[in-house]
Parts: sequence; structure tokens; C-alpha cells
Amino acid sequence: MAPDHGRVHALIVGISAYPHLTEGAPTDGPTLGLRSLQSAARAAFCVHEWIAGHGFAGRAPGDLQLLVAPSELEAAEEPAVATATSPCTWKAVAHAANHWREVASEDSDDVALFYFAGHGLQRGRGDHVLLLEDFGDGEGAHLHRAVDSDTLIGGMTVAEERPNMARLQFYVFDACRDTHKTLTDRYEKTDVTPLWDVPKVENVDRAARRTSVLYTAGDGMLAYGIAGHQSIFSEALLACLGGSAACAYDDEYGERRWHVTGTSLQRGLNSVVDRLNADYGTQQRFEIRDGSGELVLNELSAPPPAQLRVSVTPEEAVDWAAVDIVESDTATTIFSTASPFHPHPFSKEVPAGYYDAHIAVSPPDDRPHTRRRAKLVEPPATDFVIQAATPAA
Amino acid sequence: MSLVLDRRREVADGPGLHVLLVGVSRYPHLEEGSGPPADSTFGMGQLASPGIAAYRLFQYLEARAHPVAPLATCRLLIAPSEEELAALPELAEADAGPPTLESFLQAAEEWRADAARHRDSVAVAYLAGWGIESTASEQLFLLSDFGNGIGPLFRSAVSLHSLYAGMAPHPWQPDMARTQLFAYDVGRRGVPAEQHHLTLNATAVFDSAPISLDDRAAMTLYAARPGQLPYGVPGQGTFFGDALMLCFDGRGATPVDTPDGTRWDVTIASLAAAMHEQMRVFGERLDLDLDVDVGGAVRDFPLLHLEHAPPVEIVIAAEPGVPHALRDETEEVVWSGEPVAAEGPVRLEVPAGFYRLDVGDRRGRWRLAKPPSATWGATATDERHGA
Repeated sequence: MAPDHGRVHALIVGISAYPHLTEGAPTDGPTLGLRSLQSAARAAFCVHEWIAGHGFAGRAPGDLQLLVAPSELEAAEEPAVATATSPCTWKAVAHAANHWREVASEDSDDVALFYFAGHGLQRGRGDHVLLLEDFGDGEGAHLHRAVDSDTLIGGMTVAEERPNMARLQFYVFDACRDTHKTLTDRYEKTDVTPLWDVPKVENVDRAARRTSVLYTAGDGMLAYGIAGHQSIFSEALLACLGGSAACAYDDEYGERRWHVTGTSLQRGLNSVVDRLNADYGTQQRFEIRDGSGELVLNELSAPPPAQLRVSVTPEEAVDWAAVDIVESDTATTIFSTASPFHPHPFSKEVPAGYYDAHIAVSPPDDRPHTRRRAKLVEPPATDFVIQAATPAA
Repeated sequence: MSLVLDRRREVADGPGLHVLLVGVSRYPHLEEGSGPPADSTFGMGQLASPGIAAYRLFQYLEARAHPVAPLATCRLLIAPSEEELAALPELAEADAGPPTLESFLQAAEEWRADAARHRDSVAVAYLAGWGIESTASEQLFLLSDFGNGIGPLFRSAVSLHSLYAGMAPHPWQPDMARTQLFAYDVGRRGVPAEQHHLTLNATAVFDSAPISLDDRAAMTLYAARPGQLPYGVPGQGTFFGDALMLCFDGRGATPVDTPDGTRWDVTIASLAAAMHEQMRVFGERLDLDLDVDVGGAVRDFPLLHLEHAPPVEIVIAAEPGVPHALRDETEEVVWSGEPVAAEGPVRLEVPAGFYRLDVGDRRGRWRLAKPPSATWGATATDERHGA
């Protein structure tokens, strides 16, 4: 971590244990039939650990607040999460948010980061409500103990009273966005208690802020987690920031380096979320509102690992194909096989970079054929399909 | 009339590309307009590039693009300025409809109905003209009859969130196209705080449908960041529109390995990355802060398949007097020479792909040359690689 300037100030909230949610509660009651979660607190804990260890967007860790309410399972799986347990009630979150906003508004070069894992819901399209620990306590309206994501973001704007607000802001809402019929069908209004007032903003201030928002669920969709571990999305996000979303670039000396940018993060998240969905049988998706573009979110000190999958087409060439795969920069052979090409397809984790493939096909009809190909192997996974001549006429 | 291209018969029951293009340069009720002025104009006046930008995009899609689903329908609504008409007289003869509120709502409804016929279809909307950011999550697009005095001031401004949300798959339209691109070449400034209440009366494009599983790859691309305006060249087009066509035409392409070889596709995700880059390039030339804002469900779904690898300019900052050789991935030499200092860098146009620059007896590194250009110098070689 070599921060250029500024610091990242983060408010990270993970709520698994909701004391007012009970198993089997009716969906038309004050708790909407929701149950406590098993991965949100650990997800937040992992995000906090990562930011504390790496910083973010070239900024060193600054003021990092972690509020977690873990489940018993999470606490058993990761005792450090239990140690970090702290109130995640509306009042506690509002207090932490105020502190976060004050710290983030001290230096415009700083970065403000917000991460929430827990229950969420949607009242209408584009909406996102985050439910806090004391949700369902029976006081006030249904969403009395909740935070509206638009209000949260709106209150962090650059404004007259906060001219030095962090210009770069990241929000991750790792929570469901499904609707609840009790709210949508029964009530005219289901207000959320405002976290703060949203200032009116001049165009120059509006333009000054670059805000990236990651919703880990699209309209009407769910967020997923693995009980006792972390959420699918947090796992994907941290893998991506750590290298799975990295892209190559040449530095000023012509040396190849790797970093994660806003754009490469989108691409990496697609791949990693798809893989995790396949592994866990989930249907996690995500939506973005990205203002980070080509901004660098994490600079890597070495090429990240990438899964290389090599295959030969057409299929009938596989029996007669000898294949060598060489890491281009170091001339290191990472895979070599005489014909037949076995195992096919070949898969291996390698350092990301450029690779050469040399294929020699020696079919029985005595028409040998050789071919070379180059490939940029990027994380998280790259398919390298080598075409060979059809062995027999 | 807005349906300027109709190939639904050819597409039959299969998937197709359905396009809605709107370009508003002439606003009769804004400053220096031909009609009675609106009660408030917020400093907005006549434009001179959105009309031609929308028309050029239509021409491009009709003649040159290779979408993953065949072009099936194109609806075009334009109100070009005199300057645009002078630059491109055929704009006057285009069978396009007027971009008024009524025409827009009708065209949008028909576009949605076409897009909802096959889930493998692709829906593209390009809207150019004045825009206003009503709230952080709500953007308005002003149609040509904005401020006509009928109803609330913002009656002829439409909610872009409503457009996006109305194109979601749900039980009323289960076969909605799952690949969608919303390109908004519009301003994103807010109205003065004391008049903000006026924006609350904008028109929704579609009824709010029930929320259900939204599994689209649907990207919104804004030509400006919040609080900013997009730019164009009067009578020629907009930078965002130009960037979009350049990216469709290859600059947004990414190599995809297929059993039949490497294919160059423009995908939703590759387009997002390339638009950032292309707008940055335009901005550098003009000393403007140009960028795009990306949103939505940006998944790696293909939009276009290119017929060939797109061209790339490789700029070689060569070592004078030393033999150079540029090789393609089969190690064939595609260029060689002994550069002369006085001639400056060597510029080559080659098909996008993998190349290696060998300088003297130093073997180069493989590099992927992607559009639009790559600058390589002697540092691209490294003696560690051996001969």
C-alpha cells in the first residue's frame, strides 16, 4: 500500500442478529416475517479488515468505524467478529454516520466509503431501505428503524456547510431489494426516519463529487450469503479488489503493472459473481451507479493469479495435438504435453500476463501442422482456445 | 411517423435489435426559440448538434453496424436546427417524427412492445437534447415542446428512470429483451433550488410496473456527470454520439476466443470501458473534462459482433539506426525497418491483436494492441526474454 494522498474514512455496518425478528413471525406483522441473518456481520468484518490492511483508491486507512451484530454461528466461526460486536441500532448508526460525515468533510482529497450488509427492502423502483438492528421493535412506523440509501448519499454531498467533503465516495449496499406486500399493498406511505437533512446543491458542487454505488441486488432481487461465512457479494468484491478484477497497464518506464479500476471492477465482479453463483447455487446479481470510471481503486505489487483454461478446436485434433504454453515474459513453460493433449481442456492458476501457445498437430494422414498464438491472461479467468487444423480430410 | 426502419417481417418471430433515437436541437419555447417563451427557461436555449447526432447514429446502425440480433426496427424523432439542416440537408427529408411529448410517448410505447417480443432481442435508446437532474436518482429529458404552456412547466419533460424501469421484464412483458442500452446524451444540471418544485411534474414514460426479478443486462450511459453538460460541435454532432459510433465500430471491441477463432465483440461491459477512454481522448483534444457516467446492470452481454479485427494505430518510439521488427502472434513480421531519428515515431495501422516489437537482437514482449491506439517504445523489449 503506497497511498498518494488523503485517507479513506469508512463506515461499515453488518447486521445479522436482529433481536426483534423471530422464526415464523407473520409476514403481515411489524417484522414482515423476516428472520435474522447468518453472514452479514462477517461480511462487514471482512470488508473492514481489507480496508484496514490495504486502504482504498490510493488512500491510507483513516477513520474506520465497524458496527457489527453477528449471529451465534458467525461468532463461533470467527471469534474476532464476536469481539467487534457493537450496537447497530438506528441511534448507533445515526451517531456513527454523523461522525463519518464530519471526518469525511475535512479534506476533499479523502475518500468516503460506506458498506452495509443486512436486511434491505424496496418500496418502489429505484428505492433501497436498509433495516437496522432495532427494526421491528414495535415503536413508530414499520420503517422507523431503517435508513434510506438515497438520503444517506444525499446527505454526503459537497455543500456550502461542507465544502471540503471527500470528492470520491463509494457506497456498497449488500442487502436485498425485494418488496413486501404488507408495505406496498396496505399503506399509502411507509416513511423511513431520515438520517439527516439533504442539502440543496449547486451545480458546481454536484459536479465536484464522484459517487460510485454498488447495489448487490437489482430491483426486486435478493442478496445472498453463506451461513457463518460472508455474503456472496462481499466475497466477490474483496476478491476483485485483491486482484481478480485487475487489468494490465504499462507504467512510465514501459513496465507492465496491474491495478483495479472502477471499470475493471465491474468486469471482474461479473465474472466472480457468476463463478460464486455456480459454486453456491445462488442467483446473486448487482447493479451499479458508477462515477469512478478509470480511477484506480487498488494498485497491485505483482501480477494477480488468474485461472487459465486451454482448449483445442476442433475436438478431433485433441488426440494428435502436442501443446506447449510458455509464460512470455520469463520464457517459463507452464504446461507441456506430447499428443494426445491430456487433460483436455487444461486448467491452471497462473500469474496474469502474456502467454504463448505452440501447438503441433501430427495427424495420421501425415499432414503435420503447427501454430502459434499469444494471449493476455487476465484475472479472474481467461479462456485460451487454440485452433488446430482438422487432422484428416 | 417515427418508424424509419421496419424489418419486423424479415426478423419474424426471432430476436431483433429495436432502436429508439431522439435528437432535439430546436426548442421553440426556450431562449431564442420561435414560439412563445416558457415561464422559466433556466438559461436553456437552442442547440445545434443533437438532431444530427441522432440521425447519424441511425445511418450508422442501418448501414454499418453488425448487431448480435438483426436490426429490426428503428424509430427516429428529431427536431434539427437550421445549422444542422444546412450541414446535412437530408435531415429535412428523413421520415422522422417530431420529438414532442405525444410523439415520444407513442414511439416509446411501440418500441417497448417490439422489444418485449423476444428475450434475446436487444433494445437501444439514444436520447439527445436538454436534460435536467431532478434528484440524485431522477433525470429528466426535455422534449421539443417543453414550456409550451399546456399544463405544468415540466409536462413535456420525461422521467428517464421511468423509461429504464418500464423496460424491465415482469409478468406483463415476460419476453422483454434482456440486453438493453440506454444512452443519454443530455445535460445533468439541476434547476435552481428555489424552483426545484417545478421538476416534480414531469411525465412518466410508462406506468410503474410491479417489481419482479429483473435479470436484464441493462446499462445506462450518461454523456455527462451530475451537474455537468455534454458537448457537441454545431451542425456536426455530439462528442458522446461520435464516441458511441466509434466504439460500436471497433473501439469498444474486446477479443473473444471462440471455437472458430478470435472474434471481436462490443459487449455492454467493453462499451462502458471504451466510452470512458474515448471521451477522455476527446476531452484531451479540447481541454474539456469529458467522461461518461455508467449505471445499471452492466453485464458482459454482447451487443455487436465485428466482421474483422478493428484497426489499431501503433506508434513506435523507435531507436534510430537499430533494426526493428513488429511480429504478429504467428511470429510473422508485419513491419520491419531501421528508423531514422529525423522522421520521428513510426506510425502503423494494423488489425487489433497480439504483437511483439523486436529491437535489434532484443526480443520484445507480447502486447495486446487494442483500439484506438498503442504507443510502444524500446522499453517494450527486455533482454531477459532472450533471443
